[in-house]
Amino acid sequence: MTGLDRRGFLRLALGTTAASLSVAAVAGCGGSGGGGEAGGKTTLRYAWWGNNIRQQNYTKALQQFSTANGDIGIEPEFAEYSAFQERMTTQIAARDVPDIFWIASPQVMTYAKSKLYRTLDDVPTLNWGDYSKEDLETFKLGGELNTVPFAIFVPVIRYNETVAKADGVTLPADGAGWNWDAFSELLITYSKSNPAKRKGTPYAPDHDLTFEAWLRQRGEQLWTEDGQVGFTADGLGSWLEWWEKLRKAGAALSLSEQEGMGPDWAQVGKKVLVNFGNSNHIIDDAKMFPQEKFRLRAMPVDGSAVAGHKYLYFPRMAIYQRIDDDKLEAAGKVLDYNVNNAEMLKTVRLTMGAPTNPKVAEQAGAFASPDEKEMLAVVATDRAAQRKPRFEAPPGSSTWRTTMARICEEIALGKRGVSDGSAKMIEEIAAGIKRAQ
Amino acid sequence: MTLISAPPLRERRIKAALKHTGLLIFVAFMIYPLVWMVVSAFKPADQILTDPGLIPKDLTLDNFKDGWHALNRPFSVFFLNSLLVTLGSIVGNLFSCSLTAYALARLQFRMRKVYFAITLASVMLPFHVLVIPQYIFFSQFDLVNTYWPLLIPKFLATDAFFVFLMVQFIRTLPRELDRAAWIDGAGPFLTFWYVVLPLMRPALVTTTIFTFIWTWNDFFVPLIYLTRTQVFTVPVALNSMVDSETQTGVGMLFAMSLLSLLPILVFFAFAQKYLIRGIATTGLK
Repeated sequence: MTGLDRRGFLRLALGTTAASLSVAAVAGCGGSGGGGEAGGKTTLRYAWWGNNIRQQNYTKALQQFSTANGDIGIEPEFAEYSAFQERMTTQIAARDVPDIFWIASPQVMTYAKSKLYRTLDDVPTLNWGDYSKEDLETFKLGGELNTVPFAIFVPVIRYNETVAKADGVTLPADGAGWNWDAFSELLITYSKSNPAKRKGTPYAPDHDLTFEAWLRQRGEQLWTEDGQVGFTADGLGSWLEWWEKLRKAGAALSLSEQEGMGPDWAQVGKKVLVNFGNSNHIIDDAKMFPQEKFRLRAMPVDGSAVAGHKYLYFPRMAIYQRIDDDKLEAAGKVLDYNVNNAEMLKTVRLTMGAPTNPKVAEQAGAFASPDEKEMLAVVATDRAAQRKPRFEAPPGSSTWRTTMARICEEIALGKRGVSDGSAKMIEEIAAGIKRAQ
Repeated sequence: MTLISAPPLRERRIKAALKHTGLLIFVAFMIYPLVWMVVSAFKPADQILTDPGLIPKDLTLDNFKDGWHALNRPFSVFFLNSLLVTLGSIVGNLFSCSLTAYALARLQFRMRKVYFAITLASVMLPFHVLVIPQYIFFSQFDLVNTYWPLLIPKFLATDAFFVFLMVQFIRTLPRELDRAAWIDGAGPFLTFWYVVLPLMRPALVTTTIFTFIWTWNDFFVPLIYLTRTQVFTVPVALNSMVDSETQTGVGMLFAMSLLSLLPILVFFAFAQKYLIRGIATTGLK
């Protein structure tokens, strides 16, 4: 037996291993770079989420930024929304967070508690000059300006104008007639009498922004300033009762018709007259039904609604707390380009909502599509209104929407009553918050 | 003594027909999602969810065209990336698991049983326990966005399942073969190389097949280590096509999923007989 002793075998084994690893690693070699300086160029990691269209648009916009700012390179880190959060969780644990990152709404205060955000009011390259004092106050978390809201969306009723006209339906004008009772009556009447057998609306009591609008009109809120549940079982119960009235009258799609909670718009869009949603969703959703025109309305308001009930929702981005000092100014430039420059919006469009910078919002009107203009108008109206403070979701509450969807489903299936469901939901959410403290 | 006569032919035929009907219904249930995905891949995107039937009103190749260039680069890039990772993982597992299994099954050394117990225990360890320490390790070495974090563990015999599978197989080989090699002057490496490894072919093929399928479909590990689009593997690229908030992009997802299934189906078709043989001879149930 010849040809292979131990030394020879080890050589062969090591050679094979090295060759395999080298070949397989060649496409991904070079490391993350981890940002830093290379040849006088500052490289920043920028993380965001969305679909492939947003991936393409933002990649292109960030390339345009790098072209215009030759000393700053950007490494895009993109993932789908849920995957983005999973990746972020790992990166946070390893203290390997991107220099600039978008913040998923359930994580805003969780990340704040983990001290992930760097304060932004001392970043010289990030210009706050276009914002009012009131704006800046609403941007703050825990009294600190440590995240940048890069868009605004508001709760809306979106309706199919083409269908409404064809079926002879007119939504009441803003004012005393546009209230919750009138709206529910309209949906019930429409569902009973329209020729195409459409329903008024999908069953969507778990839609977070419109639920929050309901609460605020009643003097309650989603979260308190000190990070607790801000609504009562009565407040939640009244919302669920309103939906029960619709459901029982056949004005909302049944769970089987919409295949469970959180229905796909592509699937239910042809079955309903209106939808409860975020103002920015019209841009993508309207494209699914190109033959029809959709319009937005502010939420109905009861006469008894408290002053300052309107609110704005901000998707936010931040700079990582542990960013190298020598990269801070470059990161500030990137943020400034994201929020204070209309050029970027021409590339990425307005799917994330209306610009927070009022000047940019004005400029966006010039190149916005009809659907984007519809969205800009409804946001501008709410932005002009008097608004009481709004507080972000506290640590431990990140699954509250899942809890709400489950409770609503149980109510719709007759497994739970409204008052029982309301109490249960508050109890579960409060327990989650307590665990995180 | 009583003679038991066979049931009449008619009765047997009825039984066979019932059995086959039952099996066909079961097959239809099992294969329906796959057929639905194939049909959906050829439907216009706006009809996939609104018209979920199996018979499409219109047929289009748009999902394939759009999906192929969905992430700023041709989808072939992601296929190539997945292929590199998969082939590297196969080489790593075959090399390291076979050596480890040989040592645990045949060699005598201190604490051998303890090491084997540790290996077995690591099979039961939830993957998520290891993710963060491993990520910290690799990020400290600046290896994020390379394929090293996906491949290095494979070359260190961390897939204990395959180690166990090979140990079980080696134990079925007669020790007299080893002894004959020793009498001829072979040491442990020569014995492994010339005697044990050639006989391990069924176990090696089984390892190859499972490694191929599991690595090709792996999503979470590539997701956390590969953050640049150009180094995405197929599952990460597929995941990036659909926005879970708005559900857009399902047409492209189905089309590209269909293409990503093809390598597995082809591989499985060719390797099926070896897989069955490997399972039959390794004691794997």
